[in-house]
Amino acid sequence: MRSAIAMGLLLVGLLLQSTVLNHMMIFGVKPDLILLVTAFWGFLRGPREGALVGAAGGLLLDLWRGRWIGLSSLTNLVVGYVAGSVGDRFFKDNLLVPFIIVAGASLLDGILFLALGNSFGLNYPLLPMLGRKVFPSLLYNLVVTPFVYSILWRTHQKLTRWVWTRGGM
Amino acid sequence: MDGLARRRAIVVFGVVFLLAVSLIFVTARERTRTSWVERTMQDAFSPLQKAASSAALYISDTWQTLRRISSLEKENEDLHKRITQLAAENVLLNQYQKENQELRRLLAFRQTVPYKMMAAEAISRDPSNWFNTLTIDKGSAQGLKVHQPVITEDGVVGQIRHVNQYTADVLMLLDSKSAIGGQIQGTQDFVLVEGADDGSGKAVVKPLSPEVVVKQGDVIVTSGLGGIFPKGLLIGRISEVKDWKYGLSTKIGVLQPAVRFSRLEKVFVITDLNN
Repeated sequence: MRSAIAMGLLLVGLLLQSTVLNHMMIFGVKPDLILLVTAFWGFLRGPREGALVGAAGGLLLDLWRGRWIGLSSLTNLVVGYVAGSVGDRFFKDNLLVPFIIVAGASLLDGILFLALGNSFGLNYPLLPMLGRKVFPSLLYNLVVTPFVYSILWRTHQKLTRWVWTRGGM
Repeated sequence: MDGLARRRAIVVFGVVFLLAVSLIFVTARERTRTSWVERTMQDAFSPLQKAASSAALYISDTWQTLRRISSLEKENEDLHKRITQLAAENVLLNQYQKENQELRRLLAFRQTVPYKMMAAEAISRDPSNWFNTLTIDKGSAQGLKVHQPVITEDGVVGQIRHVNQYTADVLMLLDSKSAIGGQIQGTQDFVLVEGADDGSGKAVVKPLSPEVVVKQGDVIVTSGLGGIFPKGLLIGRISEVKDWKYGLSTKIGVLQPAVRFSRLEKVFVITDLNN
């Protein structure tokens, strides 16, 4: 059940990112829905699930791209895990927290992607890329945070209730 | 019946007949005045007549209305159906018209380009912000190969980076990994067009030797060197010249691509440079 929902969310994210969101680009970037799903899933449901969802979402991106397969899987896995570990220390109903999580996740993902990608021959200039890609995308991610977080929050509530009432996984 | 009674009957009939005929005769002419009998009768009847006729009118009207309502309801329903149908047809026709115009344009373009080409549709972009790639709906099953040039009637889009069975990924000239051999139209000087990848939707034109000068407004076409793109395809126009401290030249051009990447729908893959 959990995996199906997570996969559904990731697939919707992938579909939107590869089609509709290209018409809504600002400064050459679009929101990274998969990253947001990963970060919030981890934040709300712990490091283990965060890492799994991150790896799955990253793998979708990697397979789509067909090159540097594993790069996004790895970065998103770390983001999901870190968001989960950090999540334990935050009050989950504080309105500011999702934004902090997204800012941190976007930054971490960008830096990891550049560091790892460059070690595998991507050869992106680090500082210019931070300015051109990572920060604009961080800002755009913050803009869509309320929408994505509300979906993830509700999903989390339903899953928690579901486990309580059915004792299912 | 005895003879007396018979005669009386004949007389009565005769009188009545005569009376009637004379009445007919009298009233057959145009009359300005009616008799008191007529007047009294007509006046006495008139309220009843009025009531009756208005009742009749009412019933008739109601009946008519009822009949009309049911027929109107049906008519309304039919019209609604028709409107929906026509609206749908209209949308379809508009679409056909647009498609027709588009296809005519593409056909005209196809006839002007002397290479073997395959039309394809752009179906998606790379989901992340890291790469400027485009997925098209044709792949190895249709004979596409890596490094084949992709263009539109406006100019160069990029080249195929990898091929799946039914789709292919196109590295757009905006991507920082893209480098296309170009030439300044007019001076024929060689340049390299690289993706700027800074979100501006522009590319960078780097001269290939120190003496080459790039100017604002220069038109850049493919040079044909490198063996991927044929010579003479439009890449774009230099919109700005900037100082540069790393390469061979001290100035580089900022290129506004001829293709509008934000609105890419139909593209052509050049499958054979010899037609």
